Amino acid sequence: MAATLQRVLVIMPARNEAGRVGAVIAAARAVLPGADIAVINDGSTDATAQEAAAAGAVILPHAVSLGYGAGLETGYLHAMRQGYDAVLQMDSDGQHLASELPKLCAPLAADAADIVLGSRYLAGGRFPISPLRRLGQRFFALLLRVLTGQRFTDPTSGFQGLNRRALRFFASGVFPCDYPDADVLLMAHLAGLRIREVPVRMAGRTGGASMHAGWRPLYYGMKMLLSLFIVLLNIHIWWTWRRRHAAAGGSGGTSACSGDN
Amino acid sequence: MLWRQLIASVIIAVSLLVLIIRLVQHGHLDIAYCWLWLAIGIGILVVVLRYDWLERLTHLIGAVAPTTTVFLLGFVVVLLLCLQFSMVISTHRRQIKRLTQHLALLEREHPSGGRPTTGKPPTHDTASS
Repeated sequence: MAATLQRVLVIMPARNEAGRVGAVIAAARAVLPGADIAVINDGSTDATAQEAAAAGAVILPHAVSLGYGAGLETGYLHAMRQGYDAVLQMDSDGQHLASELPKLCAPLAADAADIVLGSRYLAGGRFPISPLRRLGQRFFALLLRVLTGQRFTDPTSGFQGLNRRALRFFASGVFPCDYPDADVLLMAHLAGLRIREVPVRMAGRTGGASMHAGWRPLYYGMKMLLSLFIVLLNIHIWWTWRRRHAAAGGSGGTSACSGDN
Repeated sequence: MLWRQLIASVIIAVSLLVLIIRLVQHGHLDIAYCWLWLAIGIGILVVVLRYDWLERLTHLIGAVAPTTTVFLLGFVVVLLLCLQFSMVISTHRRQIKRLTQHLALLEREHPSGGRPTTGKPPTHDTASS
């Protein structure tokens, strides 16, 4: 059954992305003219907020930097409060291509998934990242497969689409603030949310600082292992949510995901 | 090491590890701040199960008795914890100052206290509710 996606919000956490964020917003507006765009300015010290506002985005300012996960959570809370039907999240550094946004939207509009994950590897694509990070991605993909029985090719992808049901779950205070990746997918799976991967193309970073730079991949690996363990220990919370929020289908209607709105 | 000492030490180490995991599980201890505590718990376990490592370390640093090494390590760990707390408090103080300034500016621009005059109230439902 098709779901009504009349109001779609594109959220972009951004920290010191001046010189890039404006072009990303312009590209997203061109692809999805019916969607609203919100930039979560995570304590930037450059002109990120001004550039994003000039490009037509709503600015959600963090007075101090709270991290990528907290930025996403702010976007989810805004979307819940404003009654959006779906959220599409993408990076503001140009790595996630706006032209791929409709691919995230389609399964949500068709009510075929609650969470759509843009995978750069699903179609057999290659992406220029360090061997250590690729090894980590493969390890956590394997771990997720064992724990969920579902195949994920790109569990660290932040290029995602969420419908209202997933939004309600993530805005309920369970969302981790640093490196929300495989642990989020596991808790969403245990909470009964339907997750689906779609193949997308991504570009390399054109500047700025990666949140996986330096020694951070090592911390990321340790943190993610512990976080997955904690998610499993809290399984009763996800199962309770699953029981209380049974899948609810939508009805057909116009969609803000289409490019001709 | 006597059996009674070994059993008591293992119980203390395992209890500490379980306590840390439970605190993280229930959200009373953030993952970002649990690593040093986990290292302490695992460190106690290692020292208990591999007492010869402690004796080697004692010889390496020139101490006479392994107990001296244990007290020295304990002191260093407490110092590290104090240093971590000082760093966290410093970060929080800077963030609180920034937030207070931000609120002051918002209060000046929106005398209503920044409360929205229209729109729905914020959602506060929880996963377990």
